[in-house]
Amino acid sequence: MKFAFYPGCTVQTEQYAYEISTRRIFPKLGIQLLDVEDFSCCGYPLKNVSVSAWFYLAARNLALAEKLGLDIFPLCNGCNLSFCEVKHYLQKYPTLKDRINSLLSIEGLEYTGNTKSVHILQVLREVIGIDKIQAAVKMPLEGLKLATHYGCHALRPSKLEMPDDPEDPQSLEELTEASGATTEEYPERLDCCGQGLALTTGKTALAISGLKLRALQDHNFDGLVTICPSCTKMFDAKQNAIKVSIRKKDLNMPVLYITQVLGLAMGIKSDELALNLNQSPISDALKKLGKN
Amino acid sequence: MKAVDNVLVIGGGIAGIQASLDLADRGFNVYLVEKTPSIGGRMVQLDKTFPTMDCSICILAPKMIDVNRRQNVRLLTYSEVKEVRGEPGKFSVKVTRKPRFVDEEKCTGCGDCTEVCPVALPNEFDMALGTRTAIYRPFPQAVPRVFSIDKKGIPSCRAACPAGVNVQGYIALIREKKYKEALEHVRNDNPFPIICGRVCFHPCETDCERGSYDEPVAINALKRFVTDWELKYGMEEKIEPIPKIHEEKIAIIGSGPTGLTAAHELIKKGYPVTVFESLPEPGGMLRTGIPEYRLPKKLLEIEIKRLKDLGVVIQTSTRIGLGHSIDQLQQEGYKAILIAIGAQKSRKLGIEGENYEGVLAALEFLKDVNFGKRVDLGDRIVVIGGGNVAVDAARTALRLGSKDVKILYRRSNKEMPAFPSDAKEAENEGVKFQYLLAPKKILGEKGKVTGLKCIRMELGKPDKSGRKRPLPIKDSDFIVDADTVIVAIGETPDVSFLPEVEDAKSKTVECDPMTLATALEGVFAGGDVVSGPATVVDGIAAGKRVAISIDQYLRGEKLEGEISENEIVKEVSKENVEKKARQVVPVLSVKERIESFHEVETGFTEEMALQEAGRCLNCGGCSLCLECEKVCEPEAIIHDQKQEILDLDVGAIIVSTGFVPLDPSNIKEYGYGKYKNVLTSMELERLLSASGPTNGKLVRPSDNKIPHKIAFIQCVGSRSLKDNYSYCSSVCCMYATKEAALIKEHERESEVSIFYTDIRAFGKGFREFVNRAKEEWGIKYFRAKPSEIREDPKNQDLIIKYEDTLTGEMKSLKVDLVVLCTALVPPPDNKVLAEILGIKLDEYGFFQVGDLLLAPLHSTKPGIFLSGCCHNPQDIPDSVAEGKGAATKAAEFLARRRS
Repeated sequence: MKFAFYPGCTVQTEQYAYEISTRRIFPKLGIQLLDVEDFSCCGYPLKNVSVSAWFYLAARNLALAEKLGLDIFPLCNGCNLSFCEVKHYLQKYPTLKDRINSLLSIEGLEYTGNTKSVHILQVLREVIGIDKIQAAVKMPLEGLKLATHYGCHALRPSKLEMPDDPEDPQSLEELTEASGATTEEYPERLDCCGQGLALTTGKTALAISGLKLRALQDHNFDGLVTICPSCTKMFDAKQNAIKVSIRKKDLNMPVLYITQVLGLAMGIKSDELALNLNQSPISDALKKLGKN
Repeated sequence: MKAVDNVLVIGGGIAGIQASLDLADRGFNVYLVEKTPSIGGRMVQLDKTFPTMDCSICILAPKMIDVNRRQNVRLLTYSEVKEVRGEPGKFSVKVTRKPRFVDEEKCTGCGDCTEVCPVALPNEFDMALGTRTAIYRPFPQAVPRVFSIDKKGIPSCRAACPAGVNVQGYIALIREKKYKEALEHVRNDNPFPIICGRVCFHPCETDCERGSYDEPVAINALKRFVTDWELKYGMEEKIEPIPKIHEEKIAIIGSGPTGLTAAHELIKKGYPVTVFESLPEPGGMLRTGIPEYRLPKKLLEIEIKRLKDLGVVIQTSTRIGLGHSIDQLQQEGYKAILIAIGAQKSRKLGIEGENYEGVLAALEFLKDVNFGKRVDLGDRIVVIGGGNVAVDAARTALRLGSKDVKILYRRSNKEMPAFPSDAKEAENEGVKFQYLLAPKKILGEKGKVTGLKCIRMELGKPDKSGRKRPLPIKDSDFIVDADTVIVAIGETPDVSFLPEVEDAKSKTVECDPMTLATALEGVFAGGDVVSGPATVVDGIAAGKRVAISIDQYLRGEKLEGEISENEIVKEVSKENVEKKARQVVPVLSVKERIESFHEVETGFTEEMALQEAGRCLNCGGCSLCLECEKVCEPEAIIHDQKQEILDLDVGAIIVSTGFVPLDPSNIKEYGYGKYKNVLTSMELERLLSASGPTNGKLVRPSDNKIPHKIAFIQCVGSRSLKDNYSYCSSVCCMYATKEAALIKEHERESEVSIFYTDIRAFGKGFREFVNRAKEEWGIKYFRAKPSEIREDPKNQDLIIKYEDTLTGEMKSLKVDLVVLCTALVPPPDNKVLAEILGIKLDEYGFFQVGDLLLAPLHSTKPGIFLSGCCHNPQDIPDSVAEGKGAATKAAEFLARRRS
C-alpha cells in the first residue's frame, strides 16, 4: 500500500527520529512512502491568523496527493487534524470549495475531495493490521511497562472522524502490546502535553508536561509511547527544562515513538531507529530489555 | 361479558395498579397485563420514597394484594400483548402468556425449589449486582407469589451433542456434588457414559460458549469424572431388568455403539430385544478398534453388563447372513430387524506388493491386539493414513515394543482428520509424522515386506471433501525401510450378504433418510453401515434415532420433528465473569505410557472437577437438572409447559408501561462500566434496600468496604445538548436528596455531595425536604456539572473534576463512590407496542399524548389512554393521579357505549 508521505515541519526541522524510524519499519510492513517535493505547510499555524490561508494551504497539499492518486499520510497529529477539518468544511460548503479551487487552478491543481488523510494509528492498525505487526515481531519487549500518550489533536474534535475514540481510545494500547510490552490505564492518560501554550506561556506549558511525566514516574512506568512530534518535543526534548521547572531532579522518563518501539520489537538495531536522537534517558528502558 | 364491560391495562406498575383498582371500583372488568413475573414495577425496587421517606414496598404491597384479590380484576403476569384488532369500543386483543414452567394454581410460593437450584444468573431486580437462581421469584413480596423458571433455550453444548445429552444439567449437578444424579442425567440420553467420557471427540466443547471468552469447559473430562466416581463408590446398586410391555420381538444385528444403544432404547420402551454378534465378544468397534490405553476392556464389560442386567439378550458368535439369514429371523418371529454391522472392511491401497507378509490392515491388526493375539511386528513400522485408526495403530505398535514407528500421510498436517489431541500425544510418545508423501509400491524379499517406494506429494486445488487434492511430484521417488506396513486408509461397510439393501456405489445400506427403513419390510439400518465410518457418539445418536423409528413402525405412529435452529441460545452475557483457565487433565509420563497399555489420561480429582464445573456459564438458564421437581411438595413444576394464547375482548385500553433507567455506559467521561465504584442511582437504591444483594449494607463494589465519601452527579443523560435526551427527568433532584439522606442514615459520619445543575423541588413538601437535607443532615450541594471522573489505580477511589459555577473555581474532589443520577428513558419495547396498538410515539420514544392541555391522558387513538412514565417522566404521586385519571377517561369512554 502506497501513501503520499507528509512529514510536516516539526519532523523535518527537529524530530528527525520519528521520520527515520518510520521510514525504517514501514517497508518491512508492506507500506511504501512516496515523497512529494511540492508539499508545503499544512496551514495549521495560520488558523488564528487567516482562515482562508489555512484552507488554501491544507487543500493544496490534499490536491497534490489527489493528483498522484494517493491518500496523504501526515506524520503529525496537528497536520492530520488540519487536513481532516479542511476536508470536512470543503465538503460542507461547496461555494468555499469553489473559491479554493479557483486559487488552486493557478497552479493547475484541483481539489475534488477524493483523497483522505490517514493518521499513523490508522495506517498501523487498519491498513497494516495487528496480526501482520505481531508476525513481524522477533524480539518481544517483554518486561517493559509503557504508558501511552495520544495527544489531543489525534482524538478531537469528536464531530470529525478522528482515528480513535476521544474518551476511551485503545488503538495505541493495542499497538504497544503487539510489541510485547504491557500497557496500563492511568488517570492522566488523556491529559494534554501543554505544547499549545509553549509560545505564549512557556512556563505553564512545561508545568503541564511535567505533571504528566511526574505522574508516569509515580505509576512506575518504564517509558512513554508517543505518536506526535509536538508532544514528543515537550516530553522528550524539553525533559531537562521540565526537571528544572517542576523542581524534580530525579525525573527520568524514557520517551519513544511508536515506530521506535515497534522497530525494537522487530529486531532492528537502535541506531537504525535513531534512538541516539531521543533526549530522554532511553538507555534506562533499553537496559531493562537487556540491550545496548 | 361484553367488550364494553372490559378494560385492558398494559403495565403493572403503580399507575397500572391504581388504574385497575379504580376501574374495578366502578364495576368494570379489568385485565392487568404485566411483562415480568410480578406486578409492582419500578416502585418495588425503591427503598424509600420522597419526600416522606416512607418505605416503598410498605405502601405498594397493600395495593398489589388488593388488585390481586379483586373479583373483577384478572392478573396476567409474565404475559405480553401481541396483537390488537378491531376498533375503539370493541378491541380484540391477543395476549401471550409465557410459560413459567410452574403451575400458578398449585405453587404455594414456599421457596423449597430455590434452595436446590444449582444455577446462578444475574438478578435483574437488583440491577445485576447480585445473582438469583433459575427458578425464582423477582422479590419476596411478589404478586402473584408463585415462582417462575428462566429458560433461555437450548445451550450450544446440548445442540452440538449428536446424542442430545443434557450437558448443562449434569455439570450443574456436579457443581452441587450430586454425582449420582449427574450420571442419571447422562444415561437418559447416552447409555455409555464411561466409554464416552474416555473416547468421545466432544463436539460440545468445540461449541461451548465459554470457549469464545477464555477456554471451553472440559465437558468430556467432567463426564469421565462422574463415571470414575461411580466406579469407585456407586457400583453396589443392583440393576433390575425392565419389564416387557410389548410382544413384538426385535432383532439387532451388530453389537457396536449403534446396535447396543438401539437395544437400550427399545428395552426401555418395553420390547424384547436380542442382539446378534458375529464375534465371540460384544462391543463392535468399541472392542476391536479402540486400543486398551484409551478404553480399558474392563470398563467396556461393565457398560455392556449393565445392558444385560436391564434385559438385553446378546447372542455372540452368531453371524447373520449366509446361513442364518434375515428371512430366517423373520420366520423366528422377529417383527423388526436392525442392521447395525458398522464399517469393518478395510480399504486396500491397490498397489503392487500388498500381499507380502508383513502388510497388515490396521483394523485387523488392532482387533488382533484387542483380542489378546500375539503380533510380531519387528522394529520399523510404517503406518499409512492420517485418521484416528492410523494414530491408534501407531501408538499400539510403540507399546508392543517397536522402536521406530512412522505415520505417512499424503496431505499436510492441516488436513489430517485424526483428533489433534491424539496426534499430539502420539508425537509426544515418539511417533514420527511424515507429511506429503504416498506409497507407490511395496517392496519385498522372499514374500516378506522390506520397505516402501514412496513419492512426494504437493497440494493442489480442493477436491470433493473440500481438502486440497494431493498431487505427486514427478521424479521424487525415494525408499522407506520397513518390517511391517500397516494400512489405515479408511473402512467401508460390507453388506454383500444382503444385496437387496446395498448401495452399490458407496457400499453402504440404502435407506429412507427420515425413517431409516430399508427397502425390505421391517428391516432398518443405522450407524456406520449407513453413514460410513463415524464416531462413537454419532453411532449412539444413530441408535437412538433408529430405535424411535422402529418403535413408531411397530406402533403405527408418525415421526416428530427435530430441534429448530432458533431454539438454540445465541447470546450469552459474560458480564462480571472473570477469566479463568481450564483445568488440564493429568496424563501419565511418556515412559510409563509406552511400556504398558495403561490409560494415558488419569482423570480429574474432585477438586479439579468442582473448579471446572464452576466455569460453566449456564447458557440455557435453567439446566433441566430436575432437582426442583424432587423437592416441590405441591408438584407444581411443569417443565414442558407451553405458551398460552388468550383472546380478550375489551372496550378500552390503558397503557402504563413505565420507564427504564438510562444505561450511562455511553457517557464515557464518567467511566460507568469501566470504574467499579461508579454506580447508577437504581443500583445504589438496591444496595441500600434491605431486600437487596447486600441486605441493605452499603458497601462499594471494588473492595466491599463501606464508602465514607460519596458524590451524586445530576442530569446524567437528561437535559443533554448533544446526545441522549434533552428533557428533564423530573425526579432526579428529589431522589438524589432522598438517597443522600438514606446514606446518612446508614453512615452518620459519611460526607455526601450532590453536583447539580438546578435543584428542581417543585412538589408539595419537596423544597422543605431539600432544606432539611442541607441544614439537618449536612449534605453538600455544588452547582456544577463535572467534566470527567478519573480513577485512582491504587485504590479505585474516584476523582471528580468540576467547575464550581457559583465561585468560578476549577476543583477536584476525591470520593469513594460516585452515583450517577440517570435519566428516565422510554423502554425500547415501546416501539413494538406502539405499532401493535396503532398509536404514535414522540421524538424520544415516549407515547405521544393527544394534547398537553386538553387531552393529557389520551393517546393518539380513541379508546386508548396513557398514564404514568410511559408518556412523561414523573414521580409516584403524579403516576397515581394519572392512573386514576386514565381510569376515569376509560370509564367515561365506555359509559356512553354501555347502554
